[in-house]
Amino acid sequence: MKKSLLIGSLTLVLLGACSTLEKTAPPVSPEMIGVGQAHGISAESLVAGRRLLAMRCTNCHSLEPIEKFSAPQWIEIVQKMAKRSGVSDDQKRQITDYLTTARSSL
Amino acid sequence: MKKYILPTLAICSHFITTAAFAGDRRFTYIYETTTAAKGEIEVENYATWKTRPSGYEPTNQFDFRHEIEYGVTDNFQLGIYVADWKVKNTRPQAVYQDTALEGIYSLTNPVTDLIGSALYGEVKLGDQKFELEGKLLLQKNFGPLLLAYNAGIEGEWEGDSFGNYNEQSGKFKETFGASYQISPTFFVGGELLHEIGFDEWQDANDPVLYAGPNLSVRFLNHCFITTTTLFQMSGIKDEPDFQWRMIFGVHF
Repeated sequence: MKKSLLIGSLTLVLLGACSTLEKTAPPVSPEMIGVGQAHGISAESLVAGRRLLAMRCTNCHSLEPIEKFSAPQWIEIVQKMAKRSGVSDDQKRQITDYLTTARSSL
Repeated sequence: MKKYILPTLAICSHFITTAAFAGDRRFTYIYETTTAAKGEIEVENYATWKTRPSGYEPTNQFDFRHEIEYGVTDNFQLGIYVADWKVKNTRPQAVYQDTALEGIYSLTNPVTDLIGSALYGEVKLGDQKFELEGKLLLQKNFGPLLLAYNAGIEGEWEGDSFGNYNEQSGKFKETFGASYQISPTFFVGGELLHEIGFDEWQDANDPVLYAGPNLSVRFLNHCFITTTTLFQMSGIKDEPDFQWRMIFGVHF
């Protein structure tokens, strides 16, 4: 009984985490790659941007849902946050590319 | 010679503190699995107060640490404890304890992977002791909620002088923490610390358990303070009844 309860709770927690991740850092989908390519952004850059978002941004705070801000707002936010996160200009561009493409793909 | 060490280190740490980046930590007794970015330098200054007001010998002890961390790669971070030193009620003058080197290698990410994980290793060297520590770090982020768990073994060798060690002991240590983001600049949570010591690596001492709240704030866009208050839940007379730790970081 206790074991089932524990497994059930863990499953719910992991499902909750997956649902949060889907909103804050959705995986790079074929649709997203298509939107990115139309703007000259490669699939590799999108994958790298998502990885950096998860690695660097969450060092200081949790991620916000992509839909919360518009593409121009994301550009402004990354510009401001990059100063204190230690990311390079290239990495900043990759994070911005990922966020704006993910926002446009919604 | 020794009387110059602490003032020199204090001056050096001041200048280092005012010229470096600092990671924003959510816990003080628990390590997170994420590491500094490649090329990033971080500085953290610790202060810990341990007290045992009752018992055979009432004690009040203040421990201090000055640490510099450097991101060797995006997944590997090295840290140097420039100095650990302490002040105790039974011996009020500041006493240098040791200097250490630590490494953290991040294996998986707590946001995109099923669970975040990292390996931690530490070598500590003092006038009269040598210490080795290894830990597994686990972490999972659920939106604003972060859960972290550390488990590891620590070995300590002590003696009258460097290299002449005649006492040895081990310790199994595990910590668990939860931290919730109220806003991007304010976090609250709790930490749990569980330790079992082994004298001469043989006899297990009674387990010691601490638990208490923590909070972390970021301010002025350059600074963070994280603090934890732990109360002993296990009633072991030889261990502090209460511990309070603060980590202060500054970056530019």
